[in-house]
Amino acid sequence: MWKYEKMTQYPINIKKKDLNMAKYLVTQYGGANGELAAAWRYLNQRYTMPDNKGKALLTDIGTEELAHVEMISTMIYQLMKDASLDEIKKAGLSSHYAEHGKALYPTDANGIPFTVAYFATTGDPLADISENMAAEQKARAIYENLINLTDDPDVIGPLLYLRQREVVHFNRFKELYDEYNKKYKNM
Amino acid sequence: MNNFNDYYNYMIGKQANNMYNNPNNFDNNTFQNTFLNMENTPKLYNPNEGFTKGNMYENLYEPYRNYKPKPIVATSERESLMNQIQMYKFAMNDLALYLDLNPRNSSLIKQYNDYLAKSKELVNNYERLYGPITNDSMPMNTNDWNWNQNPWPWERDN
Repeated sequence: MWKYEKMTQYPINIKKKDLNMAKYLVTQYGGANGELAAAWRYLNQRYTMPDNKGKALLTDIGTEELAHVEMISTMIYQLMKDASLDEIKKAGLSSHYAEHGKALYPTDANGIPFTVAYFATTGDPLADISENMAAEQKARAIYENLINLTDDPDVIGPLLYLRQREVVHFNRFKELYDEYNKKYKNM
Repeated sequence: MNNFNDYYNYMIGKQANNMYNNPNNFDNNTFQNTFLNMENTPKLYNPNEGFTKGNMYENLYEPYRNYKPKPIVATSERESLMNQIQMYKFAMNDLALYLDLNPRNSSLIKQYNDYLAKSKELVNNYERLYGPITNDSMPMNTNDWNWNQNPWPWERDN
């Protein structure tokens, strides 16, 4: 089971509202390469990992991704919190407002709702771990795109941190992949 | 704050004292394993630098263009204590991912336990002053239900 800790993994303190950034950032909540997809990708794959290393790594990275869902959600909430209806209209968020008010909703940057079709589980550890390596690289690339879209240091700080986590996770998955490749290929 | 790099180097350095560290698993702590672990242990940032960068491992750090990590600056005592807790929990989390794949690295386990002890102490201080972080901690034992009190993590400190 999981236990909630009343803290974000990394401090988030955004003072300036920015609806456009909120609109782009949401893709790391509910987009194909977002944190929600990452969390469920790993937590769903872990059951059929062949040994304790895989089970532990997928449980722990999957759990960390849940903390990243909270970080991204916090950023979107803080970016939107003080917006007026007029500003919401100007930012092209009227359709979001019509459906959800100022509430959060996991979509990509184009408003397409989250779907579990964003991730795969084959039951083959080599296929699953290499999907995860690709997922971490894609998320890193999206974070770089997002960093390029803003000049607010309060937004860039957490995005640099989240990008760096993708780098670490990629390397851990790669180490596991290399080990499994030796151990489990053609089994 | 302590110089964690020095401390860390001491831990993995000439003093091969790790065979005494883990009374629960004597097998993990033979002299031979200690030697192998010393060879393989990755070099760590201190918790503050690692937390700021989002990466505890010097060999894995990849900066983006010329962006510099944002220094973590607290605006209140509460936030400062919370940032310390976040820092040690981050360090533990990042060490855990490595240990999941390298479970016999006794010097890294020792480092993990050191961060764990520090984070527990800070959590106790925080909870005594500002209320519970988890709803199974001792400060829940009060007349008023204090789990539902502010601040929630997504609310800006104000």
